[in-house]
Amino acid sequence: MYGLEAISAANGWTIAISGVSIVFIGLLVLAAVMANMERILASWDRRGELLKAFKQKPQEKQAQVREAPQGHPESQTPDKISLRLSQEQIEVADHFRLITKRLGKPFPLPQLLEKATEHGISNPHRHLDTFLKLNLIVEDKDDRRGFYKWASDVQVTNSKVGKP
Amino acid sequence: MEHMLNFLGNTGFGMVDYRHLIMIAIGIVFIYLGIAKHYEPLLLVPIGFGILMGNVPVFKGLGLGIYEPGSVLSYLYFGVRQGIYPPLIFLGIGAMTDFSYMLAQPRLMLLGAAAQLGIFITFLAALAIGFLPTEAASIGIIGGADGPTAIFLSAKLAPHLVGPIAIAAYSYMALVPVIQPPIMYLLTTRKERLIRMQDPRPVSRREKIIFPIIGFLLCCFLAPAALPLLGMLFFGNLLKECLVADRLALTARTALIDIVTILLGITVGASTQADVFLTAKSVGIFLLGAASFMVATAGGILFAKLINVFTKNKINPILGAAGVSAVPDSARVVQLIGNREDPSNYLLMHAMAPNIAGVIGSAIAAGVLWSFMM
Repeated sequence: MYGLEAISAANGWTIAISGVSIVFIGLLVLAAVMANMERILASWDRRGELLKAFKQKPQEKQAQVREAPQGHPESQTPDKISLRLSQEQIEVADHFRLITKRLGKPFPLPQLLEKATEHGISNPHRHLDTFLKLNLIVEDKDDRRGFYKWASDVQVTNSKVGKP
Repeated sequence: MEHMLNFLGNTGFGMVDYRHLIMIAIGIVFIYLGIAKHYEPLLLVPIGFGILMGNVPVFKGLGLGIYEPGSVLSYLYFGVRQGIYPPLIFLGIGAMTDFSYMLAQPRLMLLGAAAQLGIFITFLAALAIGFLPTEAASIGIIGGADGPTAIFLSAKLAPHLVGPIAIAAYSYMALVPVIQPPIMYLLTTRKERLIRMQDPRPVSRREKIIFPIIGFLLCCFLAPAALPLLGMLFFGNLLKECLVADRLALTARTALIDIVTILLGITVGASTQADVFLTAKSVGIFLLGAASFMVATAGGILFAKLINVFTKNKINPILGAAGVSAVPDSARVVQLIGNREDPSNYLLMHAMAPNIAGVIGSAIAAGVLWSFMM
């Protein structure tokens, strides 16, 4: 059997049209999900605020504290200093923590930078500099000078959270 | 003297016929293209040498040939016959591919979907000229320009055609720089080729980690038969992006993929024994494969032009040619053609988006075809 007859006999038209449609739908849905992923993640990061706003009474909202400048200590409590970082800075800090977990405590900065570069983290020097300036990473003055550790009294929060 | 003549009759020189010589010449051409022209050397050199190995005339029954049970080559060929090697190659591809270009511009993924038109149009053409449905599906997938996918599907649906289909798929992949440019010039104007794309947005690490999980679940729920290929592709990518499984990702993208490529190349080459390979069907497969590849390229380009009709933010239509999943060759060709028109127009990173989407699209297409043929 040849020609259109062979195509019809093997359900060729149905298979081809269904196949093209499935491939298109698959990639279209994937594209749509990934196009909105940034927004979904931002909402996820603000879930606390959204939940709070949902529960809060209007008069309480007026009493909200204004946000501190990005990357600077926001408020100081006897226990922990709260630092507001951008999403990118938080992600890089998380990666740095993963790396330093393997390097041991305290860790040397050159090795941290080397590993960060290997892992494809962009601008590791700039981020490290920021973390040092913010005292998120501090020198281990007690045991081994020249080696560093994560500040134990700093709490990191997302700068997007709490925006008026 | 009689013993001497017997011995000479039993050597390769005594048993050779013109078909062996034709295949040996093809093998040498593959090796030449790989080494001298740098056309996909990692594939063409092993396949070319495999063709030489498969076409040295040997006694049947001594357990030497690839199709003889118990032979060494037959054991190595098991990975092709059972579709083991292609998912392992996909694991390596996933572990070495950066999906961020695609994630930054999701609409370019549709070009990868459009380029899969070649698969289904060729499927219909193969049915029309008398191939069985399972054979037609295996031939159509050549248009996906994805060697491992073509081998995987033909191993499942038409194992007797694995050799010609694999050789056709890899030949056309190697010939991307020759096949695609004329189609690009034919279907686009200079003005279109000069279109500049917007810079892609930075993609966060979290998005890169979430993508393989969502992509896997979504694609495999839609086309479960694509699970071996897409599962390994997305798993490999998760290993790369999660940063906590570096050793595994490194092995997958270096040692493992290299070993599997060697085994796949040499056994696919050796499976092209003259008596199995030099048939009218093989000629048909090669012609349909070329047509499939051209239709796929044209499909991507024309779909990009269609998108441009409806959107303000224009897409350079030659990016559509990268929708065939020959990674990264077709993206490189797009960059080359775009650069010829405007040396300061860099399209490579944009072309990687449809290129990678094409890999996912052709794997989904393979899963769909397999499901329909079951």
